[in-house]
Amino acid sequence: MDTDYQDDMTLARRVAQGETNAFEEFYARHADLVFAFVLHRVNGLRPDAEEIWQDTLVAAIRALPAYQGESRLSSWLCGIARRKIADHWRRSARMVQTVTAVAPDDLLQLMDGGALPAALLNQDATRARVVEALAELPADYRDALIARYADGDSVEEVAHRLGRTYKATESLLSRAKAALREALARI
Amino acid sequence: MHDQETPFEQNLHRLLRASIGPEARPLPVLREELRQKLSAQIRAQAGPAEFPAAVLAVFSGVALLAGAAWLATRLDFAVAADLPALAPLTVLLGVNYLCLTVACVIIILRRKHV
Repeated sequence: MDTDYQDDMTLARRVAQGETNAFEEFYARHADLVFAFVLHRVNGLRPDAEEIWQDTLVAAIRALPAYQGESRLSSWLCGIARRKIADHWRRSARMVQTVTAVAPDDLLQLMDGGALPAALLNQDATRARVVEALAELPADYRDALIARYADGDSVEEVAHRLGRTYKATESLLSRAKAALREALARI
Repeated sequence: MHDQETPFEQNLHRLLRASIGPEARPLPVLREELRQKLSAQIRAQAGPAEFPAAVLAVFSGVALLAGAAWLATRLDFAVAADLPALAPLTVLLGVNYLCLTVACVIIILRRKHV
């Protein structure tokens, strides 16, 4: 087992044992991420995303005792979501399909080059790839990036939210950005 | 606001807001509903909390002493003299009742807190 995922293993075990605080932490960390992952994978169809999201988390709670830390907990949850999305389309008679478009290979170069085109930003494949990359990051990196860049908090506000000093938050954000770059390049 | 940011950071703002910003999150009502549902599922899955044996033993000991003391002040020794088996039996039953009551209350309280 990768020791990097020890925290995830501990959290999963505590949730499976019925610890209320652990469950609240698990839900706060992962519920929105899984929803975003599903939403972009089903082309932004909110009713479908809501149904699949609920199915995913119900199944995940049931399967938590089997989580062995083989991947990050958020990635493990995205794996369950992927299977639920496939089941959903199989059950439904509609011909709507899971996102098949591929985010451009040179996304990172495009991000370094200048403002990304709106068409690319609005593409579900791009958004799904970003969420998937976020799922691969440690929870504190992810929390910091979401607070700073998705919610638009200042560094001071992020520091306050995470209970860290300004300097420590700057350093955390810097490491988180580097890790996201790596994850985006990998996916 | 983002004048001093690199193009990468400016794009990160736009990408993360689009990917996982408020519009890509579940409705608060739905989020809360699912939270409650999962919380109940976890309680059902985990079952009752294991009762710590050490605490149970301490409480049983306290109950034993209290029960014995209480019974000693109330036993009719005249009756006990006629029926020698009655006194120890009464003590045993009284203590048993006390232990059961205390243990049950504690187990119920613990289950409520899980």
